[in-house]
Amino acid sequence: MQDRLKSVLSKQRADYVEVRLEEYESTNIRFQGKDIDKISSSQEKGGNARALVKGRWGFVTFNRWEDLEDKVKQAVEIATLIGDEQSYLASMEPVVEDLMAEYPNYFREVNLKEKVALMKNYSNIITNFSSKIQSSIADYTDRYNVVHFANSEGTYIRQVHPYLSVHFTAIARDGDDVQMAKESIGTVKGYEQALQISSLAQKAAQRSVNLLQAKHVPGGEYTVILDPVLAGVFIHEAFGHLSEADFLYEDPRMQNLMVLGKKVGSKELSVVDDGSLPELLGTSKYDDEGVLTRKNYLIKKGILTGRLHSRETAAKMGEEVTGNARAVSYHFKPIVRMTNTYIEKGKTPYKDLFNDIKKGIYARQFYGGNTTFEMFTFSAGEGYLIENGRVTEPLKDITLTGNLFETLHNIEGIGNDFKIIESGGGCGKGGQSPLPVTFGSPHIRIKNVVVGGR
Amino acid sequence: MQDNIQELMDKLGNKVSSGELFKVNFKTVPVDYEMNQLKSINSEEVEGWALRVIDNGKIGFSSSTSESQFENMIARAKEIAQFGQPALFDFPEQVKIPRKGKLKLYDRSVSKKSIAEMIEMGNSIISRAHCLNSELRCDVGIVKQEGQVRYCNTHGASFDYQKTTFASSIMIQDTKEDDMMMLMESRQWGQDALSLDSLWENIEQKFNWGKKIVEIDSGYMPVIFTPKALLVLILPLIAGLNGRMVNKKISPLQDKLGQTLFSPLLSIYNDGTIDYAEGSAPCDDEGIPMQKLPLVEKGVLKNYYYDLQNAAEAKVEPTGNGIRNSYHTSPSPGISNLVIPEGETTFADMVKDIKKGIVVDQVLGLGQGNILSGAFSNNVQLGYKIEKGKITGRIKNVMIAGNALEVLKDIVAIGSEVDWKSGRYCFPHIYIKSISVATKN
Repeated sequence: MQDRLKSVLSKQRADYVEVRLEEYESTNIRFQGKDIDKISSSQEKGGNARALVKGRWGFVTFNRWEDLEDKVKQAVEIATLIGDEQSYLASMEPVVEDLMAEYPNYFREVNLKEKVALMKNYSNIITNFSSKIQSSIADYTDRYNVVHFANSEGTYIRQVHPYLSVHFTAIARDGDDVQMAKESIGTVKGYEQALQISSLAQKAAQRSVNLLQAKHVPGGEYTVILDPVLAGVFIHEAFGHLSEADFLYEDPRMQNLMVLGKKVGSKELSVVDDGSLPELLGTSKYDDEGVLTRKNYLIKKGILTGRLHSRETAAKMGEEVTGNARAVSYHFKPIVRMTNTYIEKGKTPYKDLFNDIKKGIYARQFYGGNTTFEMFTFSAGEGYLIENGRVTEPLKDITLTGNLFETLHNIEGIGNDFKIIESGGGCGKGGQSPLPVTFGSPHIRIKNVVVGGR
Repeated sequence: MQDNIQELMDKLGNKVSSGELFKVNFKTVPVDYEMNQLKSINSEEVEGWALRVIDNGKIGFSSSTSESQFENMIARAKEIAQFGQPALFDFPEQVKIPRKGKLKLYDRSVSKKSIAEMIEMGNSIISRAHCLNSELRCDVGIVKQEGQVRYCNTHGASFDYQKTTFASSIMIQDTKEDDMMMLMESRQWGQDALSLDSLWENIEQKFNWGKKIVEIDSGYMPVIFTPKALLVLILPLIAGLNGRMVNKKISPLQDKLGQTLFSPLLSIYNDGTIDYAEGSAPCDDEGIPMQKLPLVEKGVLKNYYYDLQNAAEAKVEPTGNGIRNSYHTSPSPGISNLVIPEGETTFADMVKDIKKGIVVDQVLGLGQGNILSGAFSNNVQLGYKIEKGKITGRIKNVMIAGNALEVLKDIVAIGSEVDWKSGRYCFPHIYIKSISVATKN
């Protein structure tokens, strides 16, 4: 394979050409209530070629590997058609590495019967939890991807991306009131991770039943405490995306907003993206341009210190590559993405964060989040009212919003606990979803957050 | 597939009780502009094969990207079927496509559209944005797609059709030290008939309204949803009317057919028979003809929507809503196109009617939260304040929240013009009496 790719790539007239060939097998099992709902097995093989000519890209995707040579040519032709300025691409040493052996086969050795039985058991745990539970979903996915990457500079890398996720949804009902709670795990560590999560299924069930008792949150401005899950979502959505250099590398007005050295928060606030942490969902040795991943400080002690790059954005901005060019699959080109993103832990025992809050909200778990650069929003899976420093009654349908820069300055406490969340969801950007990522944080306290409610 | 179809079906028929093969081929060419410049052109080809079988009364499913995997797909689907859902239906004996007025889905001029023409279109959008304000950032996507869908089963039923799509999307961003305005508009249709002029009128109008930022107080107030923002209120309905959710007894709309649940001004149709709409097809992805299905008529709940399996479970006729999200998934109940017929009130008259309220045009966090319960809670990413019958400026840092199933009872007026969104949602403006709006104290 390596030789074939090398020979195809060596013939092209372009500033840069790369090829990605990929194949995967995947199994999906879904129980709804006590019955099997969906079960499927899929297999996919495909590839893409991306060419850079005079600053413009041609990108071609295909399913038949035998067409490789033609497709590479086509990518170069398209790029040549529109190329009209200088190409920018950060330089790097070619790498040749086969990482195939690093991963055992994991779930591929487990038979279907066993996986089905496991999910049935989890679905029953949720359904039997309470008479209030109307339905449940237990959804299992495993996927075993093998990716070959080669470029015209002589790099050839073969990497494996194993992936396993289990999602639980508990749906509780009382008359017309239907409440839903979700829990999930996602992992690269293998089938064992899916075995011991009955407590997670129970947690989802318990929360959905609790939500039937919860009151609507009254809309307004509050001091909020976010648990590590929601704080992780916050830092990913609100800040992480703005650190992705493809949003600003050609946009001088955006660059002004994100000048390195700018003070964006308190001294206690440090934020990191690290694709090289061992065995996490966002981890890989090389990114999808063959660049080594590494630990990148985005905020250090309150100062904006770095951002995430592809080879093109790094070259254009005169900064170092960071190993953050990622593609969900061969259907897409690599774009700047996060990996494992977290807020470093602070000094305050997290229970002390609640002290002297007259009226506030303790928001936990998450449904989802979204951002358009300066504005962000995310929804809590559950929440509680805080009155005079004490957590009181349960609330539901809590969605928080704010302006990123104001909100970073409004972080007034960072707990000394810490947790990295590996959920079965993923990050979406530019139509590419779900990309496996993780996020983490201690508990944090933020003042003046707008909360939607009624 | 035509050539060796019989051979494949014979092979399949010998190994399972019955089976169906679904195949898609799509070629997509996006031309992308970033930061006012042509950035890249793609050529994306996708081939997908999906096999669904009924073996010993149970359903099995497998998918692949190549015909060469056919034997392997059968083996995998059979293995899966051992654990599969009991089949409550069988694949159709024939596909009954209505003959009158053949549905139009394919436009040769989309397929013929050259890259040069697409670039010309993109360039003209960029220069118009530049005229609006030379410091704006403008990102543009022009996309053409053509594809073919084919289906056949072991009972000898089959269908196939070709389809084209042409789409353009525009994002305009005005970045200042302490403010960022983002405006997004897009058009998508099966025919090469997109007029950018109306799109552009919209953008200019909204850009001008948005120049000034105005303050607003929290509280309950009238809200006008533009066609672009209306999914906020409609997504919970789409979820609640899904036959699967109804069968599982988790829909707040179950057991309510025939009841008046919403304002009598509101009607909603699922309609897969509209020429060139994105969700249209002669039949759904399991061979049941698409139709115009009333979901809500004058506020009364009329129908849920079903695929074969769920219709059988509910003991009703399938509605032609067996949709596959991709070739990797088996059919499940899904919406084809959704149409809310226009009402009688112009947008201008709605605004005139409001003393203090807002217009919601774009939201953040669509579909995030407990949709099934009807709850929504969204940041108004682009919205405007109305004071004494006039739009006075753009609002920021504002949340709207409520329960869509409740809110749709209190419709004051439905807009007199409809607009297609994403090629599949045909919506008017909707003016709601009162919604909770929260902002900074």
